[in-house]
Amino acid sequence: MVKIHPVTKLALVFILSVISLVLPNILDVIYLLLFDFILIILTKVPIFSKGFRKAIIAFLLANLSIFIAWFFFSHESGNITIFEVNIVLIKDKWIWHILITDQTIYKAANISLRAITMFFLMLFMFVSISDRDLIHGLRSIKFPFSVCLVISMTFRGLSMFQQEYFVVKEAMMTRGVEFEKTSIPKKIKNFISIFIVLIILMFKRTEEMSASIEARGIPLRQKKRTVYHYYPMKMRDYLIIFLLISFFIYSIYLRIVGGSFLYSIIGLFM
Amino acid sequence: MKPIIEFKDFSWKYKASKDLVLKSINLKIYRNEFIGIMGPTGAGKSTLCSCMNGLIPLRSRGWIKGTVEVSGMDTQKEKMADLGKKVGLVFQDPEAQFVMMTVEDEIAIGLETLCLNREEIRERIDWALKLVGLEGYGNKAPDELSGGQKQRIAIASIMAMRPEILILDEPTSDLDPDGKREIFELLESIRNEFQLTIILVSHETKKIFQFCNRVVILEEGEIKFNGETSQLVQNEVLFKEIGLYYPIDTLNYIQTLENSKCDESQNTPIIEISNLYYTYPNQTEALKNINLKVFHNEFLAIIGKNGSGKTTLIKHFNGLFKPQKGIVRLKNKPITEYSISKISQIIGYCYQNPDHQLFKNTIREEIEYGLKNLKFSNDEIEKRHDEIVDLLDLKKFEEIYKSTFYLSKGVRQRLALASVLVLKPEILIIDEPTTGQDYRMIEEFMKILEELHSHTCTVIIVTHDPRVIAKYSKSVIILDDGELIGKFPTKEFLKDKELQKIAAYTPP
Repeated sequence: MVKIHPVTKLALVFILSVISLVLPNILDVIYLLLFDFILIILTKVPIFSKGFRKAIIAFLLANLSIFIAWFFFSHESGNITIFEVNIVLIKDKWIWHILITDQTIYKAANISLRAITMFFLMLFMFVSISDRDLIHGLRSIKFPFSVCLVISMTFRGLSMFQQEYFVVKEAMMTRGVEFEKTSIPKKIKNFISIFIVLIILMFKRTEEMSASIEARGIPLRQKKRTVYHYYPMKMRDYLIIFLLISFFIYSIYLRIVGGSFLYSIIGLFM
Repeated sequence: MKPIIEFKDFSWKYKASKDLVLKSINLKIYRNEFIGIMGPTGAGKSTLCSCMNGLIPLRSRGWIKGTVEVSGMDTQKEKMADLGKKVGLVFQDPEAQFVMMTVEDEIAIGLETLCLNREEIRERIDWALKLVGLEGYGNKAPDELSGGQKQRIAIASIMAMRPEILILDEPTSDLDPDGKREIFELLESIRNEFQLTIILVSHETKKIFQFCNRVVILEEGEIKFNGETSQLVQNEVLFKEIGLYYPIDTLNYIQTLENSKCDESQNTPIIEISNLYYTYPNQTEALKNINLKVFHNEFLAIIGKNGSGKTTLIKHFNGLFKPQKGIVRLKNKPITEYSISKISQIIGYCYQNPDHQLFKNTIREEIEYGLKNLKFSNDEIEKRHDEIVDLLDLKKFEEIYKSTFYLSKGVRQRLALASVLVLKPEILIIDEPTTGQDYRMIEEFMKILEELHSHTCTVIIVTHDPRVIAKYSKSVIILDDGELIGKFPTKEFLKDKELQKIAAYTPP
């Protein structure tokens, strides 16, 4: 997996994410999710580490709330009614009632599974593509230098933003601002104060960085310039991208005509 | 001989400024000179540097008169990219100069612009890293480097492009004395080796006397002195007139030093640290078995090399860091038993960069922020606001400036101090109060601290500035690689060469 070109990895994440939204059949989405897990195992994403565990739990809770919200606000009629109740009555008319059918569960699961698929693809991306690889990869395929520089500066900015966040938070604490033992509205207000300072600092940093680039005589638009880190794409990269695009086109076809990708493949060999 | 840089009757005013920032500058700089540019804050030093590589007028809007020629090129007619290849500019803050994710990429980005092939780029990177003494650092990320290393990488990335002129705008202000010496020695060696012209903006008078062959002193946009360093060395009057620092004789100075007013034997410690250890998540042992007492009404300087654990130690004083092992007692009670708000009323903490500490839009809001947060009454808030504005002379700025955003760094630092002092802390901790400030501003700021000290406030400063240590602190705490070397009266410290060596202290 490490030997695959960073741009191929990026294309893999992007195209599979779009496919997970396009595929009409839930079984195909489940198989795509299984493929995700294989990728995650192969790239040894440390999903049980402290940082990842927190992110995964937060995402799963958010996903669960979407799943539950679907029960309350969708009124999917289905073959089997599992639960039905009227809640708000105004002028002899029930304006809010909960209806849970087999279709409600199917559609809620459908949305949740697609979101989980995309989330795990993102995890794969964060672990398998370093910021440096991504920039080198993009420059190797002749992506505009100015865009690559902006991406690099964004990564640098994020790293500085993270460091400065802690400094500003500490500075507020030294003036008696509580971040832990306080009410939620107060906490939100305090965090907004931090972000205002950080945004001002970010503007200053951007200004300084761009002055530094210009002072070194590095023009953003220069027709001729060499590339130090050159990662050429190999045959396997082209093959993977070809397969991904083919899969994507076929998914659109399936979305239009209906059907399952997996059954089509099985049908091909039967 | 033809000058490599020539200012001909050059004046400049920024679009937003009221007055001329540079006034009728006539200046010739020749190949292989090492020129020191000095002057108080706001004298136009950085603007002068920006004029030499075309940042002014090509990147800034304003009014211009006269010309600047660099290597025969008129800066108003050439492209920035062409000027940038001849003139390298290193800024004060090395952090802001990194745009790539590793040292190697940072150096390579400029070389790619010169259209060098991969082999040549590789060779130049290795050469530049060797030049600045950081071989093997190519794959390091900026966050893994110390302040001095970052500044050396900034110089390496410029030197790799082989410029004819190297301009450095206060490159050593964040460094400890060892780091400063390393940078100056590096500049001296590359100047001799490559016949480079070096222009250096600095407040380090002693270093400028030692390394520069010519000095230009600016005041309010005009050249006040332009001549050989030897002509300037004896001219103490000029330094006093402009408000610049003139090196003092430490041995004579020691005689005038007072001993600490604080009698430790009669006192109970206000801060007491026992067997304190602290290790960062990356396994760096920042503090090792620290045992220390700080007494009421002391004026302490915490000193040591970069990375010796000074900031980690003071963050234990005010509970920002919880002791991993050992105890920190504040007024005889473990610090962990205090709330954040209670600590903030006992200990005030000022950061090195005031931008990290100012959250509000106006001076008044900023001063009142902590008080409102601690739910003081409106009358008390008003009373304390008026007191602090008078004490730190902020009234005029409050009337002129609607937003704190437009205040100069010196005033912002004073406001940061006001926002802390308004809570009337018993202990005041200040991290690097003099960084990047001129002599007059440092003196003003330190006088305020002296005044507070005379009103029984305990003052603790973390500093590399030998002038501040010698002139103001009554005792010093020396840290070395996370270990406490000891606490000594300043008078004793200034006589002990061995201690000075450990603390990377060079006499002012």
